[in-house]
Amino acid sequence: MRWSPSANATAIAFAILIAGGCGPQAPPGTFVGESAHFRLFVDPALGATSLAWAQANGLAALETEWSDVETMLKMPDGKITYYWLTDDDVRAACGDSHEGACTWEQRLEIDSPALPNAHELTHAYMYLRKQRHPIPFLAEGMAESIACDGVPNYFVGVPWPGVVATEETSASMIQGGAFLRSLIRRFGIDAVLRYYDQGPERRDPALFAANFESFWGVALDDAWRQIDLTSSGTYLPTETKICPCSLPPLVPGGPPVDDRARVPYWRLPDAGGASLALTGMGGNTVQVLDCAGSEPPIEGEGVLARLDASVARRYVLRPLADVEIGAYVTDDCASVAPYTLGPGFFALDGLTIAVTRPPAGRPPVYVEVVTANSVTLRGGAQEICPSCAFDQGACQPSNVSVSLMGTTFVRLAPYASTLPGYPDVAQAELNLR
Amino acid sequence: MGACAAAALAALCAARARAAEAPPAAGLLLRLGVGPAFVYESWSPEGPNVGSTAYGFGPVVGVTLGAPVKPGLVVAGDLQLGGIINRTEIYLGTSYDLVDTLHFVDTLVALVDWIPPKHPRLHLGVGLGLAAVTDVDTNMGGAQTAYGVALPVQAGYERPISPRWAAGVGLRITAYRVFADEPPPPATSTGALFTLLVSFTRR
Repeated sequence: MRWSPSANATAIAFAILIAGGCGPQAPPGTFVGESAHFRLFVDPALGATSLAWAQANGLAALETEWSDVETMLKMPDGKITYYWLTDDDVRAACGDSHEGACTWEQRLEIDSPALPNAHELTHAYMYLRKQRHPIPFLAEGMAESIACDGVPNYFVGVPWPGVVATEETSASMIQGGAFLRSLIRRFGIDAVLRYYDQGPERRDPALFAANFESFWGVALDDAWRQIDLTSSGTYLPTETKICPCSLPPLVPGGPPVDDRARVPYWRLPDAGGASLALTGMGGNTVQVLDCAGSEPPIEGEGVLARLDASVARRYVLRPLADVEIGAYVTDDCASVAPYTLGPGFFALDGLTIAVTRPPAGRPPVYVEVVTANSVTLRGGAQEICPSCAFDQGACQPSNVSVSLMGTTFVRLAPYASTLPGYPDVAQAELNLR
Repeated sequence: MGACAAAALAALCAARARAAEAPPAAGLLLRLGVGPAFVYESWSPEGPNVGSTAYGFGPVVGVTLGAPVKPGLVVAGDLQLGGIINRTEIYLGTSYDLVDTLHFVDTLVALVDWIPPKHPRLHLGVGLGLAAVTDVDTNMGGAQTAYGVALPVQAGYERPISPRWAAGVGLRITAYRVFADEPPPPATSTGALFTLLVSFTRR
């Protein structure tokens, strides 16, 4: 949610005239420090642990976010005042009992219970770029477009004129977010920024349509249909926000440093034809996400990924227990390298194998699983074998639960949906418990 | 006592009658008005897109400052400020309430007001001037203004309430057309502002 200068004035006027001065209150905050682009305050009510974390990492987290998003929005330098607050104090500071966070554009202040808050930061960045007041559909939509959080989005299939006309924030966020992300993927961020900079500042469906079609030369109804992937509207678990993916790539060869402030994610490195073995930390699911946010996530407690450079524009969320590179997924069994299910592997989400989508069919691939503990395989493979002697009668199908111990060779056939627009990666999941 | 009251009432009535029938003074005319307004407006963009229509209500205030150029004929400058609150837009057959918006229709015109000799309490006027239409989104603070021409016609009835002041009501219909280039595409708005003004005039 953003507050513009006049909205600010309106809120204050309402406070004085109607609520007897019970409007936005100055947020409470201990000054933590100042960096190139931020001044950080922390609510004492968050406690000593949060304050200590903020003192050590808060400004670094904000500057990391800035440097990442700056590669897309190219905002000029500026100074944003950031208040990290409790939920109650956010509501008081925002002057709205329903508000989860807000940005005061005129004074470039963010009041948020999260640090960093990508949505509110994008509001501030966009205002830094150009001091305009786009309609909520565009402003909230842009704020919902960029983040590296992997949170799936959803879209409610309603006609666009009503959403353009509304001042209601959540509708603008949901529909506008889906719409702006679609435009960014289709036309690129630079074109979308040019569009945003000239877009309507008043809610008017007819004006919005005429302006959109004048700028893009594309019928608005057609553009809207592109994001309305379902006729009735639904939750789209495969779509996430767009991540700039400008942070450094993972370096295989052991446990990566876990630093949420400075390394909130890693870019997936080019494995040069080999496979990456990504192991989650302490039961956390490994999430490999598409930078554009349009491809399905690759998720599992462990992920073995053999992706070529054409599809490797992905990122991995922290934390990870281990990252290795090797021949973990191969086309022939003889050359496969063993992947060990470590003691931290709780098998809540299985082991996911992901390969670049083959040109046709579902050619089999091989993995070698090693475990010191008994693990039950409940499906996901074509066949399992104690050696590479597949097709010689010594193996067994995996359509029944099988207990694994020691070394097991697995043949499986990753699958990619044939739905339009679907995905460039084929996946299979070994259901391990 | 009763006779005195009757005499005083008779004297007051006689004074009011004299004031009503007295010819307008030759000085400046100042008319202040306030009342409700209704607007109906059509918006047409250049290019293939369909336009929209909108309507709504709001308050209006006006001030007229003029001078008689000959008996019964006043030439005046007139400023009228109208603010339509939360107007409704009709687009492709569906209505959308534009909540938290203001649509100002402001006019600055030269006005000729004529008082019929046989009906000195009536006045009829026509004008020509400038129109400025400003859309304000109070939710986010955006404001955009389009400029153009205004053509008001009005009729009013006034009754003296003192030797120099008269009170009355007036109906004004202002036709206007404004043009905007921002945001693209260029567009034209054509509208009619209907105002009912309670007025106070000093002559």
